[in-house]
Amino acid sequence: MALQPEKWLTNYGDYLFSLAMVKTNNKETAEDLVQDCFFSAIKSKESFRGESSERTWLVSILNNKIIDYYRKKSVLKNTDSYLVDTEQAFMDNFFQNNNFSDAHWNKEAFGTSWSSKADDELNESEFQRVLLFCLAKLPPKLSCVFTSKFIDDQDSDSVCKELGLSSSNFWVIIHRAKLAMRGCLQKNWL
Amino acid sequence: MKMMQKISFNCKEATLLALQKEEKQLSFLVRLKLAVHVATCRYCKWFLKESKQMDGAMYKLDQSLFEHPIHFLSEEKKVLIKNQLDNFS
Repeated sequence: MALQPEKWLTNYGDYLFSLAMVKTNNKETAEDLVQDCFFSAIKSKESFRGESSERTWLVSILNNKIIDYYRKKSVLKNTDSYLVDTEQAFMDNFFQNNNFSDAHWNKEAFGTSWSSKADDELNESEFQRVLLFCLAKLPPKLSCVFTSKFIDDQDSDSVCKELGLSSSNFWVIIHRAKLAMRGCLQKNWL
Repeated sequence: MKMMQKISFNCKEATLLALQKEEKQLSFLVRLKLAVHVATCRYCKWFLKESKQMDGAMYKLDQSLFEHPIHFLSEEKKVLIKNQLDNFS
């Protein structure tokens, strides 16, 4: 299986740009990441062994660039204190008696469940549209972990290693991301 | 009320544990307390269903963005990249 660099832009340009946009929410950043990705790829094309597809190989190069970007921007710096400092305010959005042993869902905050709408295949593209809208609204600390885990379908250990995150912080972040996402979907999916 | 606290979790605990359960080995007692809570709390039951649906939709994103990108490189950027690739070959 040989690489076809002359077709990369046509075949993968907008795809990789879309992935980078979903993961960084910044047009200039995403453009630079795609450019860096292609440039890295062509420089190291001899090292391509054909063990994965051309697409998978390019995506893995892009994801490495994205992780470098997260590190450079210190997206996950001071995660411990961030999570502690924002715990109360964040959880108060969803649970009553948040600090107590009987912390339970705030019914008004929960609203109605959208799960039956999500089950209907006819709604798939609309579901995706609102999902992407909500992803863009996640704070960067939550979105970088959430997208790394669920778009790339990686296990938690791999994500933790990549992002330099402790396991306990990882799960706190995923918990928050899921709470925020389901809440956003509930508010915005009519 | 105190009895319930001993045999099950609260919603905040339950939602966190239910997510971890997918990957971590939870003890029998924890799993039991979790099951008791979810069986008696429809909000957590819905949350878990919605969580799985989000997982599925997230997982489909990659292929969906490949088949139907939603963001498009500007022409200027495309020219820049093309020149860069051509100059290297």
